Amino acid sequence: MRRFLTVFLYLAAGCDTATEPSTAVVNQAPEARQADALLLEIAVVVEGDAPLTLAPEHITEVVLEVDGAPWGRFELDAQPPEGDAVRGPWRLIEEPRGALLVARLDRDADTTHTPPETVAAWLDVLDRTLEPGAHAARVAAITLRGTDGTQLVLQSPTWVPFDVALGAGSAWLGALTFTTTLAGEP
Amino acid sequence: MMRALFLLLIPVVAACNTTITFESEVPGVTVHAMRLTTSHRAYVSPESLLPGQKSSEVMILVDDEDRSGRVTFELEKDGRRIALEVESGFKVHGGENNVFVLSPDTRVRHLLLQDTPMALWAESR
Repeated sequence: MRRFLTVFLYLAAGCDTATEPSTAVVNQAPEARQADALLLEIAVVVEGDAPLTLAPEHITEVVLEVDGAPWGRFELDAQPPEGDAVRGPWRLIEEPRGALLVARLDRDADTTHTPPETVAAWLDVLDRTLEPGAHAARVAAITLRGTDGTQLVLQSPTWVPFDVALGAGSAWLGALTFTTTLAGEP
Repeated sequence: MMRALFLLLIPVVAACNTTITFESEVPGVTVHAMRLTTSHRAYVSPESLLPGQKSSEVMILVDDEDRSGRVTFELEKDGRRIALEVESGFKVHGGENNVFVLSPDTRVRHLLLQDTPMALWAESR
């Protein structure tokens, strides 16, 4: 009987297929995930008799704010489109076309007005996410750069409301159109 | 006689070794690619460091002894990484194990390593 019990215990132990978790987080519920990326499309329309859209290549930097705090300063880089009209240092296109920006909080984003100075302060930046629910964003500045290096900064006072869905890792801000006169053009 | 002298020399030479050990005291993050870069070369931590963890000792070559280098690393939290550089230089003292401890109060600056643009392009409407 005792021998039988020993064999049974041995077999029972062999049936245990549980393995050690390979990571500290073994189960992340969807509701625990929070958004760390904003998606938006930006188009710049130039005022005139026949409004034209500024070629997206001229948008070089976008500064975003969310809920009153800096979200990031994002650089854009794109190949210039071909066959466009040229007005001074600016290339204009007839069809409305914008730049799609994926503004993710990451090492690529300059997320504060003044850079954090300690490891702990940088950890706060890494911790920043958006909880599910309603938020507001503002395109604080769009930097346009002409082919001759001319720089023009557009600023918007308007806050754009958006929602972060439960379990979503990103949120869509919308297609935003800005209007300018290209001040300083010849 | 020669053998005895040789045996005597081994601990003496071993005692002259200059090494560096990296240690993280930053809670809640993993520290990757921690390295000391001198004007000659880089000494990289062989391991990624969890909070409270020390790396193996990394041998420092003679021409880098008693010189200062800069310490760089990457912080990772929940899959998000940031590359940072310690603001003050770290001086390696010859003949001893130098320990660099990264703490939450360590003053750092951003490495500005963004080579990849953050934008994609799309036709609209």
